[in-house]
Amino acid sequence: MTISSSRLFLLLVFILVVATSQSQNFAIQAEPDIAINIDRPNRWSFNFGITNRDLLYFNNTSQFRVNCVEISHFTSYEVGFYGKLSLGLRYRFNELFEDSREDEIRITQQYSRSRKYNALKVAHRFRFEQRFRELTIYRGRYQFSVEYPLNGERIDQNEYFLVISAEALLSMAKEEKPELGQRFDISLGKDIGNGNKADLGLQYRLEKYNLNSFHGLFLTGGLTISI
Amino acid sequence: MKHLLLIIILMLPIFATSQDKKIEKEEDIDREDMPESAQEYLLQNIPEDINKLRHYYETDGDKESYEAKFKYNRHRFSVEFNETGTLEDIEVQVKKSDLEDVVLEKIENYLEKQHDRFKIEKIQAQYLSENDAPEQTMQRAKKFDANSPDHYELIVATKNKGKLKKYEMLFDTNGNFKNEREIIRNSYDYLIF
Repeated sequence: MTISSSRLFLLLVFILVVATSQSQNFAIQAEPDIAINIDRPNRWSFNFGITNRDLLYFNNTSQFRVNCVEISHFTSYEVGFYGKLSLGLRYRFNELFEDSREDEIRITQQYSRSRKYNALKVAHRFRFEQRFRELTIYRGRYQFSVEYPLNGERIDQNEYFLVISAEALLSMAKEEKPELGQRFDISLGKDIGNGNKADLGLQYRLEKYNLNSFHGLFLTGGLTISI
Repeated sequence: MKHLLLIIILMLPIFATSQDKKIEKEEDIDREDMPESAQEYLLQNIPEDINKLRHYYETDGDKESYEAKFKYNRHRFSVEFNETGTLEDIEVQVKKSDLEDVVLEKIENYLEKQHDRFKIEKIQAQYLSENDAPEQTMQRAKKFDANSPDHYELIVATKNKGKLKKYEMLFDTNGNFKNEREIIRNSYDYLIF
């Protein structure tokens, strides 16, 4: 099972890269991140993150350009048996890297729900965001994700797991047509002990597919530290 | 002084690894990796029309065990052996509706008394191995809907004053509480941020 799962992973990655890299409106970006989760023994938990985004490939040429750096924070409150309500604040530094773009502040309201069914862990995430930039954008999004251990029925220390997710997005702004987007994500994670996790993945984004569509590939990777 | 510092730095990983005294592990194995007596038991006693057969090795740092899991008659079976391959018990995942009304009522009454709120996530009917006749255990487990098991093992999520905890609880065949063990829940925050 372990072998066939990792082969499937490689195959999916290959298909994604081949299928997307052929066209004009296409970019490859890298998005490494570090997150710290603080889980209180009561109903509260806190998440802090820092990430940056680098352009690696655009208009059929490879390049390296830092796009932005982002810091974020989420405060969450446990509701019911499987749910969490969260409020998030994010600041994206754009001006540092390109004078013509303004920094962005984003406020997020989130409800998420996760439950384990034997080996599978299934999570739903609903978000509503207000992105304050040159133009204020309101965005609703829903993500469905599944986590699957690659060895045995639970994730032990030093074991690998697979996370697959799909997300639909709807953006709205004044005097602009609504934009639809879709994302697919596949990543390979490893439990590196004490609940800390490392992961490496690929995300495919199809943006504005109802207007002039644009698609991109993100190489994601990061470290999640639990305290 | 420089050398001492270097030695200390090189020693650090040793301290880091020596902290992991008790490593819990559960992993996929092949049937050939099980003790021979367990393999033999499975070959002779597993019903023919099963699917999704998998084998596992599990340890909590001290105790080692082997498990075979499969689906039979649309129910998940889990056959557990000890280190040497002797059958310990067979567990069959059942639904609330498979329990006798009086037994379920008794269990729910107990949970209601002990906790503000609760949710039964999983019920397994447990058939203990009889030393002299382990084959009997499989026969009883196969007819799980017609007879009463030795125990019911439940996974229960509980809420007390808003605080969420998960337990593995054991009830006897009549629904009397026997013991419980808290299950440490993993954070799922990396899935949602």
